[in-house]
Amino acid sequence: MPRLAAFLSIAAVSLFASATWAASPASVQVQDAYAYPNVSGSTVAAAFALLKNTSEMPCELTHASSNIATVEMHDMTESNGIMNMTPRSSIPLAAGARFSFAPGYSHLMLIDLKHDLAPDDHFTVLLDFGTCGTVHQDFVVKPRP
Amino acid sequence: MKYIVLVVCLLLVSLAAGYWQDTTRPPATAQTGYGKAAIGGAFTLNDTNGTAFSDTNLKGHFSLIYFGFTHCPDICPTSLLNITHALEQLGAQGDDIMPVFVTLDPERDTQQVLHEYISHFHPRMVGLTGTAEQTKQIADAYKVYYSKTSLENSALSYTINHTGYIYLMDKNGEYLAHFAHDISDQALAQKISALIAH
Repeated sequence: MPRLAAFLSIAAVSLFASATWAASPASVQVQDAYAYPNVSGSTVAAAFALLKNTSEMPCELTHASSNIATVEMHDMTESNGIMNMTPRSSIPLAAGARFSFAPGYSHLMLIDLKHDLAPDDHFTVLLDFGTCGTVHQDFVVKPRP
Repeated sequence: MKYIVLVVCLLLVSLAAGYWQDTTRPPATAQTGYGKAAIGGAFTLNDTNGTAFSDTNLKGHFSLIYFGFTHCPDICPTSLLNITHALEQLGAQGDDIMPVFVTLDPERDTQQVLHEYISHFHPRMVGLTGTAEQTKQIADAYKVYYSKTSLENSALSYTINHTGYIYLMDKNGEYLAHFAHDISDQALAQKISALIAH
């Protein structure tokens, strides 16, 4: 009986721990990560990707960084023909939700690029999803269509 | 009776005269009208060689004018590339069109910066920059809204929020049409071709 009690206690603790454990880093999938080249003469570029929260917990992109540039999350909205670019401090991702960084809309802005980006180049961006973990995501540079 | 005949004749003559005048275009309806948009006008800036460039430099050829800034990472390069491709698709028609990029951010977009920037687009593209006052003058002439907006918590100290239309001007430097910034190169080429064909 004591062994059973011990076993049950350990099992209960384990279940409790797993329930409160942070979602694994694989909770947020990052797909179709790419960037367009910067225009030489300008040290900024835009990167895009699809984020999917595949967990049952809310996640939040709180920070992005790279060794090739300062990375910021920006919204691009158009109202009455006026285009407004606005930095965002975070991107919430509810359980099961998706968020798209896409041309003409939100983007990851690369600022003060250390070198020009050319088609077929690759670079890594560290995406920090807080308690949902971090993703070291490879981005490929594609030619602008 | 004579007066009636005279009135009828005068009426017929006036109607004929009116028809003759309007025979060149259909009459205005509730959905269409005629007149020139109040877009365009006097301005003076410098091109990337430091040479003065004014509204008189637009005369003698068509012009395709876009307003933006080089710290725009997404929309502006895409629009300028679409303009480039549209002119290439227009072939001989495109040879008579001058592409122009006007910066709304003269602080950062100096002649040197613009010179390098536009070299990646159409070879005939003209880059224009100037003083804050000169920039305001051309923006006002073309009804371009722009706003230098400070950014907190950003490596960029500011951005330029702005309207992003592409303006087609005729050989007199007068307004012909405008297009949305996200028009495709093919659609832009088709619309321009139809507008400048006659």
